[in-house]
Amino acid sequence: MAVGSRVTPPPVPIRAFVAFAALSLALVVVVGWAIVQERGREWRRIESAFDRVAREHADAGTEPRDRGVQQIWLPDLGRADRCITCHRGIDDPALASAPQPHRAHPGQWLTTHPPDSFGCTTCHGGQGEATTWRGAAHEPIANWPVPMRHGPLLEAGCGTCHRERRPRGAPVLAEGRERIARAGCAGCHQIPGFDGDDVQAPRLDSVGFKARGGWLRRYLAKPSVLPGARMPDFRLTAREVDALDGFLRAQRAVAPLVDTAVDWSRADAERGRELFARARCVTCHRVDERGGTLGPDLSHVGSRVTREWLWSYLIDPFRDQPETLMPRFTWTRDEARDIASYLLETLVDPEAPGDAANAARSVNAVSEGRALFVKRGCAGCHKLSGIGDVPRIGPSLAGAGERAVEAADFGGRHVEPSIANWLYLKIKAPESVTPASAMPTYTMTEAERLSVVVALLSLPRRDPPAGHITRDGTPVQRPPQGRVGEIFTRYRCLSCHEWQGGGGRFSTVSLDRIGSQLRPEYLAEYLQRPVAVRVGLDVRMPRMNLTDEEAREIVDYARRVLIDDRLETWTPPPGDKARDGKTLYDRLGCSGCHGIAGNGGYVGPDLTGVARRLQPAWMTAWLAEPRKWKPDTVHPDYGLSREQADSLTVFLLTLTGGAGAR
Amino acid sequence: MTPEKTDTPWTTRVKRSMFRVGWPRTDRARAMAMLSSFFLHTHAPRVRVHSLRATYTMGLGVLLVYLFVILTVTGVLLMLYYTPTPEAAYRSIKDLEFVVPFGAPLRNLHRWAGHAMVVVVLAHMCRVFFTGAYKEPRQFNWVIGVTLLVLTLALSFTGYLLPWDQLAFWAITVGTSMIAYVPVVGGPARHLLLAGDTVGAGALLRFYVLHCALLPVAMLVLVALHAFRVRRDGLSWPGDARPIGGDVSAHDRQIASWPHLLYREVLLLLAALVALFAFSLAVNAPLAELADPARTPDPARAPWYFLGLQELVHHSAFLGSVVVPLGLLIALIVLPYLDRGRAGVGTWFARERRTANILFALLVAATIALTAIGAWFRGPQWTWRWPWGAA
Repeated sequence: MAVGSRVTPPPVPIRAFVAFAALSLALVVVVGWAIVQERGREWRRIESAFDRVAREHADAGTEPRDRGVQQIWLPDLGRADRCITCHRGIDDPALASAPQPHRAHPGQWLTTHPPDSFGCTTCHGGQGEATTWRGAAHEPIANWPVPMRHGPLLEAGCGTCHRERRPRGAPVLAEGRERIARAGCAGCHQIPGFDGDDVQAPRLDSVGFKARGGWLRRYLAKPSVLPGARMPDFRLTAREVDALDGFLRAQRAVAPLVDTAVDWSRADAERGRELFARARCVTCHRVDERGGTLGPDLSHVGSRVTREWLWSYLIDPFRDQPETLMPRFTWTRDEARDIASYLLETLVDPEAPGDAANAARSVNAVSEGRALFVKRGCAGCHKLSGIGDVPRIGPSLAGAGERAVEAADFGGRHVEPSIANWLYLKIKAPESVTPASAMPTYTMTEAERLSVVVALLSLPRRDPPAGHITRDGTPVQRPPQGRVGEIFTRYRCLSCHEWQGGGGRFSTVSLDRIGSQLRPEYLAEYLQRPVAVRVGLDVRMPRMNLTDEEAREIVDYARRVLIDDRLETWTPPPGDKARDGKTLYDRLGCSGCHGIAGNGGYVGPDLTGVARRLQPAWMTAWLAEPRKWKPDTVHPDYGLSREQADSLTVFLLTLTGGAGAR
Repeated sequence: MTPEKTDTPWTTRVKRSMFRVGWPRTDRARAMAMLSSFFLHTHAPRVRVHSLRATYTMGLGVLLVYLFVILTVTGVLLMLYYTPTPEAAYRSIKDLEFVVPFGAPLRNLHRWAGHAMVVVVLAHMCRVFFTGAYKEPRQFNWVIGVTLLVLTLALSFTGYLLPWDQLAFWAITVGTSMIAYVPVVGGPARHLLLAGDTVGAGALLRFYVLHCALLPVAMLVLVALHAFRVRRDGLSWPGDARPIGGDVSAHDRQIASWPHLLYREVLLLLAALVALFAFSLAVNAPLAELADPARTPDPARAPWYFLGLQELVHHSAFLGSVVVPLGLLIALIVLPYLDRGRAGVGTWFARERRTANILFALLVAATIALTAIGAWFRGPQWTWRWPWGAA
């Protein structure tokens, strides 16, 4: 030990005691703070408030409720939903008018979707584990991918499990999915549930023969020049338009049919107009804002297509477009000439430039156009043999609604930062949120755009367990074979009619059990001269001039194959029930919608001569349970007993009247 | 020991059974109190005033012991709620945040204390370097200290994965991919650590066991050894630097540890607790989205203390993941055996050690600069980005 190491130790300085006292006090304060924070948790305050609210609503709260954090544990989904910690009254009808968060859940949803199996966040989104308002993601928050969905967006939750194209009870979602399918989004994006969808964009193998000079240029620069065009605007520069136009006009794979015997100098446009009307082309095609939308608008078709191509297409549409929805009508060569001449002379666009606008195309333009065709994803929708299948150019949209909102660029806009808003903006003006975006601009109304956002939000990154998911039935893989198959193919019956879960939805009539529904004599007559049974309906079956043989084949096939055993037997009830039936008919007010010989409403089919049209077993079955056969029918379900339905049928069978609806 | 009188009150008897000596009133009694207690005998009965000065040691070593104890206590409590499987790990963190009483402050405390420990370990090392305290006879204790630094980083790194969120998953993915650059042993070592080639359920379990069992036990043993050697050698002071017989009496004043060392330690403990508790109540530990191997955040960042290395990896993978870290480690270990001059020990930034101090200060500055660049100046694709958002 060195010198001077042993001296009297100084006392502990007073400032040390002061510091000790201050730090001890601070420690007590901090621990108290922790306790206050814990005792003052948000859900505890709401729990107390709930007790007050429950007392105010006399019938409520009869069952004693557990205190503390409540949760629904969902082992299938691997999560716990604690929403009921604050939303304690959701299953108590007495709290239907209580203020939030104590209010009862509206509607019958808790019955159809028991919370014990589905929890809350499966439908509503949000963070179920949270016990705070903010943490539950009532509004979008950082670090939680699925914010709660409100208002119209709520239907996105339905779509996570309900994968049908048109889920019932979710109109916005259904609309959005239809629109995604129709807009051809799946041409560029991988979208779960939309694989293998055909957007029905025309094949372009021979578009060089089809397009009139100048038309492609106009259309590419601004697709909205074609009313109802499904092609979006690719925001092409003039140079790009030139290149694509040059490339497309060089596509001449299959030359149109030519018949030198057709004398165009004797073309009769007036007769063509009559033929056009009699075949009911407007069922699918619009002319001057009237008509269907299954096929392209024909208002200005005369300025778009060449005469050679149009005549050939009328004679045999499958030559140029093997996959078209359009039937091959039975027209003579002169009839086709007259229709073509009517379309080319009358349905023209006064603003269209003449053929002179057909600029010369250079070899450069063709190769540049080809590159552009691939780069902009044209091949996603339009088939072109020279290009073949190319990979999709857009990113996958699986989990599109669960992107991290922090990564989303809103292009400097001041909007609530949510993925829903980002998707909305992206669809509205793609270049405004991602300047280099190759995505084209779609013309949509605000509501339509919103529906697409809902449909996109419904695609989760990870699927719920398979048992939760419902899907459309697998569409039919085998249409009828043999002679009937040929007839079906030629007349494209399945473009409009539903068929074993597949086919078209354009017609309201499914072919699955048509043989059990219609009397064969009536079916044969209808096929050759279709007559609308619904007076108020615009959509009528086109008149395709089937031969007797073709009609007979279909009727035979319908009677043998397109039947439903449940509809094959009907025993008339004993006694004379026609009077009972008539009484019931009047009591239920059937005539509000249905007409008989001119008396009654126009909403439902006219019932004059219904006995000659429908099979009695079908009438009874339909009247007893309309929703069983067509879940979305507007026909009311009166809950009729079998006897009542039989009586009504007996009465309807007396309606054998003639020309009422013709 | 005099036999106790029968009329001694029972309270006194119980007290004596626990504490052999009463409140010490003389120097001798104070020394006895220090020596006869299991906990207190880790301190010398008398310490130099020089080493008691807050500006000399800054109490960093003691602070590290406190942090280690806090981390152990909070860590054990967290283990009561945590399940080390990919399905349950993230959910158990959410449970801590939303349901478990005091769960959020508990996790915050563990997280912030963990980060604090890394910072304080590094600061402690700087203190020892700048005061020349690694010189003879303390060379080997410096080596143990370097090992403790590595252990601290390993503990922090293994703990980083446990929340199983995007932040954890990708930080560990980036961090472990650096290991793979080490020639020959790198690949197998990474495979051993991850129980596979990617971060998954096996890696989570291994990190959990390392974090909660192996590394803390190793840490405990080495801390004991480290502290024991400090107790034996005493803290460094200018007397270590002078040849025997030189006049260092000005620095050699000694003082009883009871109460002068003890009250300082108690005050430091209180201050540390208050600061950590308050910070943990005010600032929540981050928790990103659930780990998703299919979605890489851009940029994916390593834990902050490896950001400097990641920044180097960006320039040269071999440099950043092999040359620099291994070079630094070896340099630190051999340092006390190469730098043997004993001038300037016991004084901050001693003139006699100017070159060494400048070199070390440059190293520290470079580390801080590289880390700051990696943390704030790098955007997507690791491209340069000003943190204040200018284009």
